[in-house]
Amino acid sequence: MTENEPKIEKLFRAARLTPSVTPPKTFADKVMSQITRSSANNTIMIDLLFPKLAWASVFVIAAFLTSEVIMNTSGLPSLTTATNKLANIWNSELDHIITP
Amino acid sequence: MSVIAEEDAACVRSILSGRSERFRELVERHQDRIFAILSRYERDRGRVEDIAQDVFMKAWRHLKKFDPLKAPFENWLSRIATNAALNHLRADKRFRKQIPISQLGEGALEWLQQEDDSAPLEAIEAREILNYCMADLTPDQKLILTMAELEGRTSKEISELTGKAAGTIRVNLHRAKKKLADHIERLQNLI
Repeated sequence: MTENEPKIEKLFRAARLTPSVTPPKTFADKVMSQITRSSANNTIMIDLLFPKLAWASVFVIAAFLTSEVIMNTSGLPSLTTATNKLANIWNSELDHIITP
Repeated sequence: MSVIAEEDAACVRSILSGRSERFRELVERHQDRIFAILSRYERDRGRVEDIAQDVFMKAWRHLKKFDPLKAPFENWLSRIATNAALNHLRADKRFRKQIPISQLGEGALEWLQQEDDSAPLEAIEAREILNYCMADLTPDQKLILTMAELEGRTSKEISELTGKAAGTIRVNLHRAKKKLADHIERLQNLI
């Protein structure tokens, strides 16, 4: 490549002899404690998320019940009646398909 | 499959079935190799340890993806270490400034000035010169040159570890060597 090539080769040969950094005796302990911490974090995340999900479900159920009560008292067709009607129409359509 | 590869595969199976404490065995078996790989790219003990920790944590997180039929655990882990080294070189390139020539030791400067290669050269001095002259190389070139010349890996091995084609490795290696030779020549003219 160049007249410097033998010199570069020698440079690499010498550099190869540089001692490597050795792991400290506690290295495996550190990795394992980091793993335990990250697993604990996952559990904490689930612990944190669970109440939020539970509250969200309670809110949705409460909204349905409230709407049902309001619809009933004001004489409007309730969600249950509407759902029943829809299910009946669907069932009769399906009956036609299954038994022509 | 070698005995170690079989032991590693059995260990991984056991970890995945719930015995996470067995990951310690994998760390203890492979830590020296990972430190040796990373030491080629970073000399600071603390930083090498940080990167090595990241390597093992990444292995832990992606352990399900390890397939003993494709490659032994050792190779899979070395691949993670190589990626970590490349990311480190990329980050380092952004933040590290060019080392001033005055920071090269007397021994290194003297060796560079000599016309022949008969003068003795200490390993530390050689690393100083290489660190200085490799600063211009791209992180990929630095990685390939280090793997080939300092770790003594073949193009095929480098290709397996980096995921790049062997032909691309050879071309990049040639360019990196040329760039390094030019830099050394410039440095010699400067002294």
